Amino acid sequence: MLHKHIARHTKKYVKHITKYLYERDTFFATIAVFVFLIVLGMIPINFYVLNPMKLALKDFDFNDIAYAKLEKTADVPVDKRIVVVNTGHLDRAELGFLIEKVSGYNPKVIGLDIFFAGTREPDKDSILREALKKTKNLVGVSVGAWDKHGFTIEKNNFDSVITKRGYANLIGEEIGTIRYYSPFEKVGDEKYPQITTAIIKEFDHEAYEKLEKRHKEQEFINYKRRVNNDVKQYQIIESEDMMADNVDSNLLKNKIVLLGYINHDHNDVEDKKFTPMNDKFAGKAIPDMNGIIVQANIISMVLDQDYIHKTPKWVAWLMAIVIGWIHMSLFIRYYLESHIWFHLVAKLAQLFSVIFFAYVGIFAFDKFEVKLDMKYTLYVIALAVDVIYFYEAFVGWLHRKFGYQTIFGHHHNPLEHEKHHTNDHNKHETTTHEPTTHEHH
Amino acid sequence: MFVVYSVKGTVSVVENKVETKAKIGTIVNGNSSIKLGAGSFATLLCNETKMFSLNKAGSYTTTSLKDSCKTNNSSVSANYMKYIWSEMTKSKGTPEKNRKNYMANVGAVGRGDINNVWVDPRLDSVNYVSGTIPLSWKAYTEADEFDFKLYDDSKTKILLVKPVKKKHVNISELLKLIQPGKIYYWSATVKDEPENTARHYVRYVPKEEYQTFFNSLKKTDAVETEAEMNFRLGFVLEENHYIAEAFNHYMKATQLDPTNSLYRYTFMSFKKDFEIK
Repeated sequence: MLHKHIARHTKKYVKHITKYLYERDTFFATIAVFVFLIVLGMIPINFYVLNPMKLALKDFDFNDIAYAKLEKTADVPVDKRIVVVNTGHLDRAELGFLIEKVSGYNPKVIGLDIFFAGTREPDKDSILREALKKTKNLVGVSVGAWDKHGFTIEKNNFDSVITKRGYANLIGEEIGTIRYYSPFEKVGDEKYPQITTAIIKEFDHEAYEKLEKRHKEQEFINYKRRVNNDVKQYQIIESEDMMADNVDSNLLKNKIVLLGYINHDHNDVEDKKFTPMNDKFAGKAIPDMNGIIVQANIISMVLDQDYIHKTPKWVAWLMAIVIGWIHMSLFIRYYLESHIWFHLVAKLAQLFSVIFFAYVGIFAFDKFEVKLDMKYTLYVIALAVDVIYFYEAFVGWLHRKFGYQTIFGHHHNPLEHEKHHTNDHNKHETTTHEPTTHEHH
Repeated sequence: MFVVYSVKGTVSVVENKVETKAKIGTIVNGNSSIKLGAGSFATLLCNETKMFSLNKAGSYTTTSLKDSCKTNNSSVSANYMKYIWSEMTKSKGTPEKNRKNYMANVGAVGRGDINNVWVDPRLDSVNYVSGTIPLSWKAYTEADEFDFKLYDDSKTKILLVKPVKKKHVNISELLKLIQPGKIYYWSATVKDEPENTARHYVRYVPKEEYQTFFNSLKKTDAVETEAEMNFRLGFVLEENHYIAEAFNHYMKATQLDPTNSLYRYTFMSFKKDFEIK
């Protein structure tokens, strides 16, 4: 008895959605949403210049919720292949000693994520220069920049002693989330590696070759590990511990050792970046991850071949079309037949759709590392309600002018409206018709 | 299995009745135990994911630590539902309507007193015997002149007010005013600013007392080279606030074994910390 009851009600509600699904107007209204979306996108002016909502969400990605609130990476183990040594505020001579010390532990590669601008005290520079010269497995940082000649590398006074180098630049707005990096850039006629690429080349040539064969101008960074006061998913060693031999002799052996600045103070933002792992995923926040940990995440990703697969744009558009079309059918049904409930149903449908489709995106990202772009789908759902009014006005004009047949037609002709209501009532005895009120809109 | 993630102080691992110093990266197996000295702490990594810290002195067997490895991670889907529900049922208060819930901030920077001078905590207590070390400070403002004051052990009676343009006063410049066996305090203030209330301790240690202390340090059963001994003495003297003496021993260690990067690094850091040129 109960299952029959459930089946009957399910059928009734499914009919609410499908009743107008194959109507010509549903197709055209859905197309109108996309036309509207494309036209909006083509306007070369940023209309959100003073819109706080848009500004706050400009750098927002639904998948960020997975990191920030859903503990997506909570059980990711410490990456044993990478050890980070915190250089703190050591001067150049102290850094030289630290490099010598680290080198004594026989790591496979040392990545030095520090750029030395200009010369300083000659004695200290000389100590550092000697250490860099002696450490053959060290990969240093170059500063790269785009100018009218393309990507160029700045000259540095330690260039002669650091033979293996890579630029440390990441891709992101000035105060924006770092989501991408470029593994290689062309400098003149040569392919120049990013620092993580140069490190991987020394550590695991196979992983390097696979990265090279991907031929991607930019890679999406698959963040998996973080280091803060509560969570430490990379081994961090303070320079004092290193110098005092407070480290097990096997900890660094044949591993990647990254030398860089780690600040444990939440409010110290030197070389800290905004990442999708930021606890505050929208609105104002402070950067959450030290640059060296971003580089470490990139290295882990490439070594594990753990790249994020982004679905092609056409998949995102196709999903938006199908889901938008179904929503449009539902909205039109309430718009025409139960207008008093239209706004309530539309708002509820929008709310539950956003929750559901955001979940679908997060689920795919979490389980399959596939980044579904649900942005267009959510835009379409949000715009559909407004477009119905616009579409109704437009087809009403077509109807009056050219006799265009439309399911909205009766709204502009009281006689047709009456006829439609009568027919509709006869056809669907089970459907309760509410008095239409939208003519007053 | 546990892995030592970080250690401070005296931490050791006992395995088959053999005690070894715990280092970062040391693996602690099933039958081992971890010993912590007073004031020490160790952070251990369990199952490569769960981290926990020990900070009470004592001996811990690995069995007793197993409970610390438990995790209760729920799935992303479950967390998503919980998150949506908590957000949907969250109170909709606004600062305009309920100021009491939105005043959990001070709204001003915290300062003990008006003080534009900062003294490294390492110089907060100094045991002086002979030689010299700079009593130095840093300024938060672009001040050209400072007032250095020396007080007696009551911290109130001023023995010396010395206007200085540098950011240090060598202790040797105070020798005429200080006597062995007595305690003094000093402070530095930006010229024409309210007096800095922070007082820093200097004890003029009699030579005999220092010699007795030094001899007790020098005695050891361990076989060590001259350089190692000097480095060890430098370290212990620094820990005991004998800055000038520590300097001499660190320097000797570096001179005796110039290839040792630890000696050179420590000596350089020491000079940097105490602003010894």
